[in-house]
This record gives sequence, structure tokens and C-alpha cells, in this order.
Amino acid sequence: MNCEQAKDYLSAFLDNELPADERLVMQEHLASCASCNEEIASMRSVSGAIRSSERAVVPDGLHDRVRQGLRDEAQSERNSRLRPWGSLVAASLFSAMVSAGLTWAYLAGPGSQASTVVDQIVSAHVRSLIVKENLTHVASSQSHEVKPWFTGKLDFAPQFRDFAAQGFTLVGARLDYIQHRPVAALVYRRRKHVVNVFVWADVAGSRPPGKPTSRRGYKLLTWAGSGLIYWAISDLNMNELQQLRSLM
Amino acid sequence: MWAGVKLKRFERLMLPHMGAAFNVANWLVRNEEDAKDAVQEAYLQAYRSFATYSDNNSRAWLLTIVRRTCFRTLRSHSRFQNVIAFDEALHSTDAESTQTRLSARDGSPEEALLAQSEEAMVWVALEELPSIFREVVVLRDIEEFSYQEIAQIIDAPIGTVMSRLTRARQRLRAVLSARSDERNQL
Repeated sequence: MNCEQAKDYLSAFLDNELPADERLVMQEHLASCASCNEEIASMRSVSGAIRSSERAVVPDGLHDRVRQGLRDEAQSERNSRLRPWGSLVAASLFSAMVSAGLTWAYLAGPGSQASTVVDQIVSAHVRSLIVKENLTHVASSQSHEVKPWFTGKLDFAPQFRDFAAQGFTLVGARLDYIQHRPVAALVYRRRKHVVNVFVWADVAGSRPPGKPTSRRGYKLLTWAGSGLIYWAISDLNMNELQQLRSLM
Repeated sequence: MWAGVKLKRFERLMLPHMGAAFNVANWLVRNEEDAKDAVQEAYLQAYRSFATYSDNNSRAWLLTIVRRTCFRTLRSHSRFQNVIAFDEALHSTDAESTQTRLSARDGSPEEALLAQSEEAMVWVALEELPSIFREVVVLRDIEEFSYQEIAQIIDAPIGTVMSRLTRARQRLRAVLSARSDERNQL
């Protein structure tokens, strides 16, 4: 074995991870090679420095938060098992759509009858993130700049408020389509997370808002107020999404 | 709330590894808030795919999922960073995250202060490594996984683990000696 061949195995030798016969070959080489010995010595000190430093402790509350999340998941698993066959049909539709992926969302378009509000919201959210020009049609945190852009495009008047002081910055807004109707999409940023808040008028006969849900890794929250229906979606955690809801 | 047999078994096997999960996530995403989100998401994913867990190594299995979740987080954030200029926020987060990591340990304040400057250099150097090198050092020297387990977690042959660790440590050593040369010249 020469230095060139030994090079890749120095760490493994240091960590006692070489099989016996290869370790013997390495030891023979090291018996007469000063530079490889030096390499190993300096790697030993670097790895020792890292190993001796202490590891970060789990932050307060994370343990409880994880356990709560698991309980919620177990509960919803149990609920869907107890529901009658209707949920099985919905579940298999859902998994078929997930496996078809984004292309389905593009191909199906507004003409599809099978997709639910949640699926359309998720697709619209994902589409808005893929191409940066599609995220906002009007990029501003100022209500007096955003609101006029929507005049004539919507038959209702959402509020465009910036909550930068509370950690939710209004990035801007765009016009989007959910269930064949034009909706306002307010775009907020929280740290590195994008939150899309879809708003439309509460037409008589609309379903009442549902519980917080999770779909394809995104969290969704819905509520109603002042004759408007809101859907917030983000990869942000549900706690912080609820914080945005309470601000709005 | 109702907690059945599956949940109890899952918790018994997987909750003890939360320290490792958070630590590795923190090193990969370099930001405590995102690390907490990633740990939360990873545990959910692990629970949903618990039926696929069959070997005896719950720690390695869980960390494989943690790692995947972190890289998904990093990819989606880099897409978002194309949308909005984020350079200043990114740089400040890196400095803050080192600070957070350094202050997130037990030990007296005096000890922390003494150890801090030497250790800070090592940790900053580690944080600046490209993630493919950083993750093998974290998995080996901090979490003490075997090479076989590391190969499973990063989904690469064991020979790759060997050569990558060697190169990672050499890079670290080079960065550290450059830094201490700078200090000695001051």
C-alpha cells in the first residue's frame, strides 16, 4: 500500500472501522510513512476537538410538541378507521392524486370535478412557489398600494394588512382561482416560510369551515368572518399559523 | 387523549433519540427554529411509516428520516430564496445560530466562556463545511454512529463514508490552522 491508496482509509483506521486484514496492511504502511502518520495525528486532534465539545440540548417544549403532534396523528388515524366506507373512497382518491403528483394539478385545471377545495388550495400554493414571478401580482406590504390593484377584479374587498411587527410580513398579493372563482391570495412571509392566505366571499350554501388539516406536508387552517372565507396554507407549523389567524 | 398500542411502541422506541434528532437537524439546517420544525415533521413521517421499521436499529432508522426531512426543508427554502432577496437575513441567521448552539449547552457560565473561543472556532469551521462533509462528521464524532450506520443513513456505500470522512477532517484541519495562523499574527 502506498500513500495514494492509504489516503481514503485514514479515517477508518483512526476510528477502528477497518476490517482486520486491511488494518494490518495499513499498520505496515504507517510503520514507515511519516506523512500519513502526521495526517492521522492531525485528524485525531480535529475529531477529538469536535467529540469533546458538548451537544446542543433539546429546546424547551419540543418534546411536548412532538408528543402532541404524534397524539393528534394517532387520533386522526383512529378517526379515519372508524368512519364508514365513504372515507375509504376519499382516502384512495387522495392517494391516487398524490401519486399523480403536480402534473395532475396542471392537467386537471379548473374543469375538474373530482378535486376538493383543500386539493386546489395545496396546488395553488405549490404553483405560487415554483416560479418566483407567480408568487405575487402586486408586491408591496402597503395596503394602499395593494388594494387598488384588485379593484374590478374581485366582487368583495379583503383587507391587506402588514403584520411585520409580529413577525408576519406582507409580501404582496395576487389573483388566484379556487373552484372556478377568482380569489385574493395574500402572501405573508414568516422567517423563511411562505404563507398563502386565500380569501373569497362567503356565498350562500358554502360548506362551514373545517378543522385544521395537513396535506402533503403543508398545514391548512380555515375560518370565516365578515362574510368572507379564509384559507391559510404554509409549511410553517400549526401553532404559528394560528398566530397569523388571530392577527387577521 | 387516546394512545393505542402502536403509538406507545413508537414512543418507547423513538422518543429517546430526540436529542440526536434535534442535534443532527440543527447542524444540517443551521437554524434552531427550522430544526425544531424538522424534528416535529420527521417524527410524524416516522410514525406514518412505522410499519416499514423492521430492523433493530431505531436510532439509525429515525435519523435517516430526520436527514431526509432536513434536506427537503433546505431545498424548499432555497426555492423561496430565489423569490425574495434574503442575503442579509441568511448571514445574520448563520451568526445567530452559532451563538444559539454555543449557548444551548449545560455547564457553568465561566466554563462556557473559557471553552468558548477554542470550541467556537471548531464549531464555526464545522458549520462552514459543505453539508455532505458536515453531516458525516456530525454523525460520527458527535452522534457516534458506526460507519455501517452512517452508510445506511446517508444512503451511500461504506467506502464513500470512509473517503468522505477523511476529506471532511482534512478540510476542517486546513480551516482551523488557517484561522489560528490569523490569530497568531494579530
